Amino acid sequence: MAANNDYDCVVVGAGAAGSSVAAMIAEAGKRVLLIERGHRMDYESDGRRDHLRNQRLAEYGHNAGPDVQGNPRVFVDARGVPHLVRPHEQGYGNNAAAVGGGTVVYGAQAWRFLPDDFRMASRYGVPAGSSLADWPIGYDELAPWYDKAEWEIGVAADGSRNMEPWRRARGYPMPAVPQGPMAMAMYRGAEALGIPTLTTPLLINTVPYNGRAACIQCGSCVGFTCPSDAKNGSQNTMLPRALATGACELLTRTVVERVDTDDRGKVTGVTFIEELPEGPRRRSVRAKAVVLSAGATETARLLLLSRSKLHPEGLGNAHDQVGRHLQGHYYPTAFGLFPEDIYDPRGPGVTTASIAFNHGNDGIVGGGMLSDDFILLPIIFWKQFRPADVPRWGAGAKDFMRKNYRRISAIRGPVQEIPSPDARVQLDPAVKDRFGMPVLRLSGTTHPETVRTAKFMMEKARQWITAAGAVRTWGSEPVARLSGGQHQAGTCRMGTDPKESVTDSWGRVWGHDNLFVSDGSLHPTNGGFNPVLTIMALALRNGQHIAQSLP
Amino acid sequence: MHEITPDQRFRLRAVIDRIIPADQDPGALELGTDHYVLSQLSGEAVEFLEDILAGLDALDLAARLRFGRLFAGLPDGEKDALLGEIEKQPWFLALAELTAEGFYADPANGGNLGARSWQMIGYEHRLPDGPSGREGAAAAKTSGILNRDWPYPPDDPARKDGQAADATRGR
Repeated sequence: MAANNDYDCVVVGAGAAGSSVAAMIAEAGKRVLLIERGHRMDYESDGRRDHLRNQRLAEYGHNAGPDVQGNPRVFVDARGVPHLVRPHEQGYGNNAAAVGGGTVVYGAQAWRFLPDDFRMASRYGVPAGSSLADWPIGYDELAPWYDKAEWEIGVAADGSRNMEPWRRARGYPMPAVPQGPMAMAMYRGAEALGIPTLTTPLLINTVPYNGRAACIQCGSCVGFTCPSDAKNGSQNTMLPRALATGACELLTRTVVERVDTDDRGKVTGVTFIEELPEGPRRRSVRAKAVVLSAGATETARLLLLSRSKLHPEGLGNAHDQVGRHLQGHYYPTAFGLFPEDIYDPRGPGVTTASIAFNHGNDGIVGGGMLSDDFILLPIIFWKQFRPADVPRWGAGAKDFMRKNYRRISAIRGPVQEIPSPDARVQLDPAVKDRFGMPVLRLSGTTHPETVRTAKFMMEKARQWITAAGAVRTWGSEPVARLSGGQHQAGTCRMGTDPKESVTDSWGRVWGHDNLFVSDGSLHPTNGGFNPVLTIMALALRNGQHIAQSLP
Repeated sequence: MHEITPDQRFRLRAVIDRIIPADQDPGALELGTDHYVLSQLSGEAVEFLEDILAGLDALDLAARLRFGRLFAGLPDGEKDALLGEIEKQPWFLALAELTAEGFYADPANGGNLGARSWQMIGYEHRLPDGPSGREGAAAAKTSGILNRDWPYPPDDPARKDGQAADATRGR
């Protein structure tokens, strides 16, 4: 059958995964249409450092989208009460809406998952009520793609200290960020506790790399565009590579409405709405294959929105798996007050970590990495991280900030979550977005084992920062809630059984030979690490496979 | 638009002055934080305006009963004593938070003139274009309008109490 295709492949979402997939397919000489709902942003156009409206503190909105207006969701709280929420409000679970996705403003921690992160169910057994599952691929399958991501997108770390746990083939292309006073304190503490440390790998140019400058060590990295374009996001690495082929077109400010299927159920392309200056315009294109890389919440939504007579519950959803197992990361954080200045003005701030507690913790399922934190913006420190007994007004409140801002630091890290099938996204039956499409409804909470692990990690963080010299520590105790947000994952998980997963091990949606998912949605579990390097590595692997499988 | 009268502004400033008072370092009024608070109360934080204006009225009533004068005319010690008695009231907590927001956020938000609060605490922005970065195309974000198709009560109190935190701020 000679279908008249406009493109070989449509990729939805120009974030960490979509840009990588597009680059792999376009570099194989195939025609790609890459569609992004957000706009292009960089420091020149969007370099305003608004400390109240950014991806780290969204008091009144986000700098990297989506807009406060026109993009609502419904969040169902633990008591079952639904709330209409805007992107910056609690429960929304926002990541970003921009070219590059979250990577245009991220903190850029570049962790590989550990071998045991791919086999959590085998290693620990499946806790009752959880949907814990192994990945259908192991670490060794992904290792060469991690290497490719590290060298071609650009990671800085100390190879001599980070080799062994990952059986690395080689070190890193750039040296680690400078180790400051907090790192020195952490080394002392780690020595006292008998735990090994390593450097926190970052997708940041510590030296000029790939034709761009080095980091200028500003005091506000995470949450913002980079003043020297040294933060290696998708927008300045894989996306330019895709566009340089001449085979990839990028549409921005364009929202995909549905994946189109023909009367036999075969995927034929997508229908989308371009937000043009003269108003919205609906358009459809045909393609041999479609890849969804819109992030774990919006990718699931798109599959659900693409329902038809043959797929009344949405594409790939014959077994009610799409949208379930939503995960992110709990972030237990131990703050410590030191007797002297511990503040290092040189950003980004993250320098040193330990993976001593990712696995093998007695009676605990999994664990997580611990690291120091990005430099805290003063207002973030005020709003989120003061000790609870500090006055909220008056001379005492002011004096606390003056005396202690430079003496306070934190040790924190992402906890590997134990997935629950009830933590999920669905289409809301009533609320529509600005184009009239049903919005997401988020409900459920994580599995209790996640909270138990988070409490355990909170205690480990507290012990480490105390051993590092903190004279007082504090932090909020983890409680059961729904995760998602910037590390969202799990909603279209890979597997070997179509009844318990949404895609095969290549991200190919069960029942559709030309429909793929590639983003955090695929992760059956999300590691005890920031997931972006895994998302990139998996996208490079799957992108090559998709390119080779295109007729 | 929500009008705030000159008298209300005057009374608001008297409270803001005690929320972050001047000492060896500038207080909120010297850094223009009152302008930030007023601007927010007419825009993104308008939801607090009515409560705060009522709170100011109650504060003046208490000042009159206790000291025979309006709040703004009291010495600092008596002002602080009165505020200490109402410091857990939602209107005051909201006002204190807005004041801290303006005072410690970047100067382009209007409440931290010359980034002086950052000098006080020792935070260094280290940006080539100044403490607020490049002005660029960052449009002023305004408070959104709730979706009209929303079938549930918009003033549901549970909406505010933060049952679930957003997942991660960690990356």
